[in-house]
Amino acid sequence: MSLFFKVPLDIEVRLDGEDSRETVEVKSAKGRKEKLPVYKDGETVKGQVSVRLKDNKRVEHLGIKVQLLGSIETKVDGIKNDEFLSMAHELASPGDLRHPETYHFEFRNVEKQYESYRGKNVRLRYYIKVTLGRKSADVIRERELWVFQKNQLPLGATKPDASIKMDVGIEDCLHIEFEYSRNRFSLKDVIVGRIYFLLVRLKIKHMELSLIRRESCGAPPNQVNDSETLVRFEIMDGAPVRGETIPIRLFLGGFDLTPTYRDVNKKFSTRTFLSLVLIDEDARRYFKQSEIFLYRE
Amino acid sequence: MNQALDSKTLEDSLLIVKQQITLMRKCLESKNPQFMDALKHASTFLSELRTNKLSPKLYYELYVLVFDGLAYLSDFLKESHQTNHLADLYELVQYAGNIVPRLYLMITIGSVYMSIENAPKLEIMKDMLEMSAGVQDPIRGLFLRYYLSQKTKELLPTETESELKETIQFTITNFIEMNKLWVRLKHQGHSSERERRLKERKELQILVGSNLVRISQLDQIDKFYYKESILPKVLEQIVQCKDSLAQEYLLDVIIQVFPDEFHLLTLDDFLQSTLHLSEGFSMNKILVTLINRLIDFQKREPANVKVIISELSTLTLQKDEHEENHTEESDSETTKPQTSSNLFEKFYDYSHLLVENKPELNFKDLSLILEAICKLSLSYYPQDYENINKVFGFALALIHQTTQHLEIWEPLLKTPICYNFDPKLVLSLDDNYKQFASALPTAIQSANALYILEKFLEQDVRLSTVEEVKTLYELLAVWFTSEDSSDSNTNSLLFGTDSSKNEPDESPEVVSQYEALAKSIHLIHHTNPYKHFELLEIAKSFMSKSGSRVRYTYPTLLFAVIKLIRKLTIVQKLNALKLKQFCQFFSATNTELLTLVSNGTLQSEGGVLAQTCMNLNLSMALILDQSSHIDLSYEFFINSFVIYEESIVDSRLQFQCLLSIIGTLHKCRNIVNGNEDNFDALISKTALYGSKLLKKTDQCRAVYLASHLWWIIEELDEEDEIESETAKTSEDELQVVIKTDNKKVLECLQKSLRIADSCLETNVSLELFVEILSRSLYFFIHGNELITIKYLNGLIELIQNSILTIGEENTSIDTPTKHFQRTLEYIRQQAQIDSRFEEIKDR
Repeated sequence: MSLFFKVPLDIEVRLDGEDSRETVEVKSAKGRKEKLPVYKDGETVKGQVSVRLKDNKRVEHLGIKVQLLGSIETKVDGIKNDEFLSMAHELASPGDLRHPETYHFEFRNVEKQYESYRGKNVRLRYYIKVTLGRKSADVIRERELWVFQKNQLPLGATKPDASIKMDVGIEDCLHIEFEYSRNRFSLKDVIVGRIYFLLVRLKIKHMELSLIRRESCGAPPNQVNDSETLVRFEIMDGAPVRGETIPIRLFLGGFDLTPTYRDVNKKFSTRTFLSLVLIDEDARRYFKQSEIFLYRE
Repeated sequence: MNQALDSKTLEDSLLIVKQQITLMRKCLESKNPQFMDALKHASTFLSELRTNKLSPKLYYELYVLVFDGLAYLSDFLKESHQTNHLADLYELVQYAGNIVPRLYLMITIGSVYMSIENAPKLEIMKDMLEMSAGVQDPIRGLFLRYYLSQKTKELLPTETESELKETIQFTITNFIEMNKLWVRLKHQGHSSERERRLKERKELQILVGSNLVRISQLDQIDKFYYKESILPKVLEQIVQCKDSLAQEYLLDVIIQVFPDEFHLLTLDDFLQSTLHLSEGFSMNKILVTLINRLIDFQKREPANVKVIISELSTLTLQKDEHEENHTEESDSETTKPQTSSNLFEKFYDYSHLLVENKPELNFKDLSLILEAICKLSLSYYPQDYENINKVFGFALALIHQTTQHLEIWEPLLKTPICYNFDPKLVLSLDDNYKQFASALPTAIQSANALYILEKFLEQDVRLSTVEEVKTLYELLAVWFTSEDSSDSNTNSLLFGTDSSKNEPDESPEVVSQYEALAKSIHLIHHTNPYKHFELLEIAKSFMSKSGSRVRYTYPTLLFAVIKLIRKLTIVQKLNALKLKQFCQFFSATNTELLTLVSNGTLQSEGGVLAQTCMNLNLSMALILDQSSHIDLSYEFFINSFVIYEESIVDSRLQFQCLLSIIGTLHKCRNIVNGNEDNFDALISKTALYGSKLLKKTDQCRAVYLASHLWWIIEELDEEDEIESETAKTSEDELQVVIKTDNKKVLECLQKSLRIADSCLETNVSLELFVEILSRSLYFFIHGNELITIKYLNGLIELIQNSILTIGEENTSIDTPTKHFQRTLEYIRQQAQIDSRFEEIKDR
């Protein structure tokens, strides 16, 4: 359509201090990487909107407004959009635009309740939306922000710093004990632990630790779960004998992890599991998962 | 089977590694080093080390290449560590997804980090060591840990005591883990490939041993620390791993790499732990190596050894005070607390424990161990024969348990004599040694006996007490007794007849044995000749057991007696009573020898033996004559004649014997003067024997030689000549006339002439004539008045005629003719100094 009806103007959204602001690289839906400015909860979002005319033609409009929106989009049963945050300012009342114009906007101390998230079936995004109303089609310009929620204690972790200890096995084949120092980790933390082999009759080839993110959205009957292995980390090569202790040390900081979210706006959750996988010589996998709670510092 | 495949895999891997190293270097060498990319390349080539398709040998090739690559990386890091903060890098490499590359990178960066001042060395060490546990595959794990120890060896901190402790702890832990991996390799894969795995493990052993070498290179360790903190841990691991290959190799490494003084101090611990080693472990190698080292140590630095032993004893005393109620080893320690510092006791007790705890130990090993213990005792306690006795007592107990493979004990048997510089030691040993020896096969016994004896002879060891003589011959007892038992068995089996039982053909071994035995008689020596004689009697009592073989030894024995008499004569202390004893001994012995001849035991050899007997008698007679015991001397001459008559049958021998008799009689002085009748009887008899010889030539020669017996003139030797220089003008004064009987001499010459003339072959008679001429000239010169010019001329004429008859050209008379010419030449020369000769006519 735009081929036939060329939009006669450009809208550009600029944020204050954009160049110096911390950014985050996110993969877009099309697989491209984009850089997004990072905002914190309660931080003011401030900037300018400039509108330029093409071909120096006069443009008639029904008013210009800027919005700060927060929404959760789920792909379950088609795309649903649920806005949990919506703020708006009028930048210009209906009239004619003859010259390029720049408008300042400011959303003061906006509460940004949730952290931005892009998952498989769900995403939570914050964006600035500028709308120039016209009789025909409105001209809309969006600019996405990325929000980090710091010091967010995951809801599930009632007892902080409980170590994980587990004793698992297959009768007469394998018996191991493993231990992770904690079950709550900040995203820049190190997982430290050890695995103790009490009985080994399997021909183990190697052992790895993986981090799995499980995303679930929707209400229980129609809930959709999706798991994604984010990290695979070999921690043992070759077959141990009984009595052997294998150390675990996994630095989290270098991986693209998501803090644990529970029922974000009653729409979705993301949880992370630490999975210990033993692979035997016939490539059979034996694993044990345990949930860890991640948070952002 | 898949070696080709293996090397193909290796080549592929090597190629990749080389490429990646090149790429890595490019990244590092560019103006703006792209360090992250370099790390990626490193990680890629390190991934090749994840392979499990290579045998240890090939894996090592790969490892070497990778090592070089990583060395390059660490050099770079060292030069530019300010720009790349090493602590961050150390964390960064932790993200590598695969453990093998991750750990190699970690160690590479960690070791560079350690080389920097103020780095948290101990933490890095610990961390690297701990994380290495992630590699549980034996080969990969071994190489990784080897890499760890290679990279850190120069960097381990040793300045303070605690640092040193950590360093040692680090190395020992790494050693223990490597050993576990190494042992585990045994259990991997299919059981049909056990052989190959054993080989592979042997190829890898040096990786494990390198840790112990590293510890030994730490100069700061003193021996007490070693005893307290290092050895126990290492030994514990060695015992626990229950793998004989590992145990053998590692104990050997311990012995080799640590200083001797350490071993001396920790002997107890070391020995104790070896008791717990697994079956199939060859104990002897380790022990023998250890003992040899201790012996060398003693030889090299005896002073140092003394110091350590005293330290050791104080140490054990302290220990005793600490542990009053020590239950274990209570018998050895409570009874004699001092002995615990005695090395020999240690090993000796240990050998007992060994037998108790390890019944599977074979005797071969035990014998080697005992041999080594024996050597140790000889080296450390050369005077303490009791130790050696103990060893042999123990060996005796062991040998009673088995009858197989007794030959393995031979080296042990020889040890005391072979190892000690003083052969007499062997005489001081008690019955254990003899019993032990006699429990072994006779072949070994006699070889040992010969060995002992050769040692004695070699060093010319004098035997001067009854005990020594007895003991020595008891040790050689096997020779005296073996003959009858073994020979009769084999011979009766082989021939079935009794006649061959005493086959005199002896094997070369026996001959050499008896040769040595005969020589041994000369070793017997005592300053008191009578004591000396007693010793000889003892020797004889042993020799007499050897049956017909006394023929090898008795002559020597008898000569020893003769020697004694001569000695006594010179010092003029010959006691008549004792002399009689000597003579009785002599004739008894001689008779024993003769019986051998007379009962025909020796067949062909008999004649020679009889001749020997006779000669012995003659020698005895001569010595007795010289010592003025003319009656006894006469007796012995009579004996000689009896032997001649009875036992010398062979005509050739007869002639020779007769020559001996004539020679001996001619030397006699005292008997001639003292009892001329007896002497006359003897010489007439001799002449008679001569005329009764079988062959004419022999007869002739014997008779003309016998003629000398009536014409005994002692020419003064040169010394006397000088003394009597003034009297030189007169010829007679140069001579002492003992017996001259012109008539008898002439008779003899005439008789021999007759015999010569009666020879059928003219050339033989010619020869004899010439000889008689020579004799006649002798008597002429010495003033026999009946030998006149006329007589001589007659003889010369006779000879010349014979030559003419035979014909001068006849070659068969070349020799006598020449002889004759020389004689005539002599006469011409004599004519110049003696006018009497001028009258002898020649042509």
